[in-house]
Amino acid sequence: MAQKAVIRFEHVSKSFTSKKMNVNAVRNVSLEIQKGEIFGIIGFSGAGKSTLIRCMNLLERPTDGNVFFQGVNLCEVNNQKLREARQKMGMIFQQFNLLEQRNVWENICYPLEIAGVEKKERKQRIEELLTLVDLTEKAKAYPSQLSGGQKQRVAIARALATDPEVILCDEATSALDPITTKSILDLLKKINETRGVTIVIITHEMKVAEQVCDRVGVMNQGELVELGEVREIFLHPQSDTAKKMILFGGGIRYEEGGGTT
Amino acid sequence: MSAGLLQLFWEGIQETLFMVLLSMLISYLIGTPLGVILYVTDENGICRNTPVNTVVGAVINMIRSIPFLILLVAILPFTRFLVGTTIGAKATIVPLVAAAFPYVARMVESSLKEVDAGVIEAAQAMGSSALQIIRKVILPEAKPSLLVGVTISFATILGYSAMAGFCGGGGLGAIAVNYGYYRYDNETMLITVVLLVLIVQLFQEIGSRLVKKIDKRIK
Repeated sequence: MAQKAVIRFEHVSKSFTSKKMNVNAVRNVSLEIQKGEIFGIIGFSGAGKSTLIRCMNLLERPTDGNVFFQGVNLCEVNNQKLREARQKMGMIFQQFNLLEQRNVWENICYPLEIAGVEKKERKQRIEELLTLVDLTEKAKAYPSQLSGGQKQRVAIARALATDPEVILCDEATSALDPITTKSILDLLKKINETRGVTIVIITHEMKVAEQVCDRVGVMNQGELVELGEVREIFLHPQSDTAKKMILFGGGIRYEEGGGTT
Repeated sequence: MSAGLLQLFWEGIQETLFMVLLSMLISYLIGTPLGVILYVTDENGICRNTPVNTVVGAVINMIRSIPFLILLVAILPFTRFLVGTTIGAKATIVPLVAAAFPYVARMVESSLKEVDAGVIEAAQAMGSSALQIIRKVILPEAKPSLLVGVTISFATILGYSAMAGFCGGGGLGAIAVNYGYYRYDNETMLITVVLLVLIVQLFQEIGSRLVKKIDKRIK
């Protein structure tokens, strides 16, 4: 491809072994995420989406294969280099994962402390981020005083604090109502357009992919079964999973035994 | 009640608080790092290390399984070596710390375990080092629970300190033993018990209020 890949997976597999069983959460996935795009990974629960996105910043270390970030193989770098790479990859979560004992301001401050940013610069950055996510008046509030949508906006501001190349969204809107979901997606889109931040979204909601993604990958049982432009996949889904997802996402009731193929 | 007795109780309270608070301080200085080590080296910890976890855990369990009175007698030579004597409030601090620090370590460990794993994962995703996660995430997030642990430890160590009264320890425990047990002075004994109960209640109340004040989750 002519474009430059920010994240590249080379035959990535991840399996979890316990005494009782062996689960292959991700099987031999190769993909490239281009700079500046919004990439979606869709699939039903248990398809391995979460594991896949966790392999991008090595929260899960692949059992096999290589993960490249900006051309560097993360599987081979030392801890220090991995931490530096992670500072260039923001991440937001379904459960927001804010520090409960820190207020909004201090939460956004955390990654700046970690990155060793000067106090003066921190203040300026936080003010700018609070404006971006429209939470200036909530700076002194604690997470327990915020709504789900507000918490996710804080998480987005926090993820953006260190000026990352990529933001990874792990089911970021799944705990939110449709209207809040829309506002969060609009915010992500705005960030993508104005700052050129690459965004990776994993979701089981087709609507989410439809609303913001440029390209999507469809996962089923740990495998990437389909990959392409969002429009193309919606109009001409090839895999069973994609067909089923569109059927469900489109609000058409899928009857048992009705069959989609 | 005579002025002499009042004086005796007042000194007893002071001695007890001195013993308990100082041994708590030392126990937390030793026990907190141990609790952190137990927590981070755990199977699901951020610095998983099974050998370290097993050894530290075994030593702590071993000390914890020795009944306090026996521990107190067993380490008498060590106490004499450290303090120069084996009787009085100062000498009691040694066995109190010996019994309390493993207890504190376990209390700290269980408080830290309450911290949401998702928050730790988020900190890792932001590129934090293990030390940064401990200092800036785990300990501050566990602060309210750690404080609850302090109040529970206080009551436990106070109980130990009273037991030490049997073996020449100072404070209210010694008064209860000397007057209540050896002289059958039930009144003095009863007053000592009431005083101990009041002290525990007081600290429990202060602790609970403090926890409520610093915990940002409830509001």
